[in-house]
Amino acid sequence: MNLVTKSVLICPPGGLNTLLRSLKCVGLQPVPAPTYRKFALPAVLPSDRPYLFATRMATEPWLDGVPAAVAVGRMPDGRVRAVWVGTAEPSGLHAAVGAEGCLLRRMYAELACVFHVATAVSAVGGGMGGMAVALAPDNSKTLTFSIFLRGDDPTMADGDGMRMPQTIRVTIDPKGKPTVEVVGGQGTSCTLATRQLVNALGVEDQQELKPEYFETTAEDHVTAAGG
Amino acid sequence: MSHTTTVQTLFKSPSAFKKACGILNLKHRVAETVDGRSVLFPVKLYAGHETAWGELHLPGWKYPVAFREDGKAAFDTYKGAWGDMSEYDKFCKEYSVQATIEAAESLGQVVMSVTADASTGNVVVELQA
Repeated sequence: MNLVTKSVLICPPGGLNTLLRSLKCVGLQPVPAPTYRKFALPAVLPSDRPYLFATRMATEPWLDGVPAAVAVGRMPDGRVRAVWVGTAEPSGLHAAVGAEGCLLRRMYAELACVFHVATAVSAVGGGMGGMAVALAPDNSKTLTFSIFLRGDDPTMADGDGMRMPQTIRVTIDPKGKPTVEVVGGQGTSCTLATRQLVNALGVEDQQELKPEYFETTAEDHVTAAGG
Repeated sequence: MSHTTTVQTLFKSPSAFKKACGILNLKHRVAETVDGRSVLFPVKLYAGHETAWGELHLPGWKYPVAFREDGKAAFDTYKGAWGDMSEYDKFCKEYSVQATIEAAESLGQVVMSVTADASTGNVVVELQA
């Protein structure tokens, strides 16, 4: 299943209403998002039709009235993906970082069609500038989509927003006790990356922070120098 | 790496439980689900009954292992006389592997490799986040 058709890619600029009309024309089903920061929807998204969540952010002071949209769809591998785009900056859609941001990052690598959706939605919005993304299945009935905004998540980077992918190594000892390690993580990004996994497996027994945990990011250095 | 987290496993996934039992060829029973809820059932141990979502029969064990709703396992081995704990450990190890893979996939992480280390007895699951 492709998330988007070529018709979407050529839909003209003109704001979200135009976007919504265009998407309806090509068979996408627009659904208003009840809230922005977190919302849930039934996990019974149809496999043959992507959903699009779109809304104006005019009443949201943190976006200063710019249009934005969330595209949600079930991918060919059966997983559900979401893309959130706004027009807050011209640097292009970029992935959030952190535990959930990896999902969007992987979309670029694995699923070109999602990139096309993001491109289309962003173009209609008058610019590009994804802030964040995320989704996590809570249980069989609900999918929770967490939308991170700049400033909400300390791991979220400026600029292109991309960071090196993290490797999580889970070592299970002969008695079945797992130890979760993050390779390539820095600061709180690595704890975010493992928190959901640990919660799914059981409860945290013990955590050991390595020296790398306390290393500052490049952005931290810039801020320090400027201040 | 910036941190390591040791996890106390809780048995929360009937699907991982079933996969582990299938791989190890263990006799088991899992609660039926009605309207999204597991219909728990009693498992008879030496000291009484445990209400469980899962029941496991390990080789050479006199009583089954009961998997409770709080994620903990209950069993009577009488200090090993009624069951060899190494059989239980084998199951726990396989369950943890299956639960890790299942959790990672549900979180959108990619399972890069699953490697058994014969020298340590560990299994290493590498995920790309």
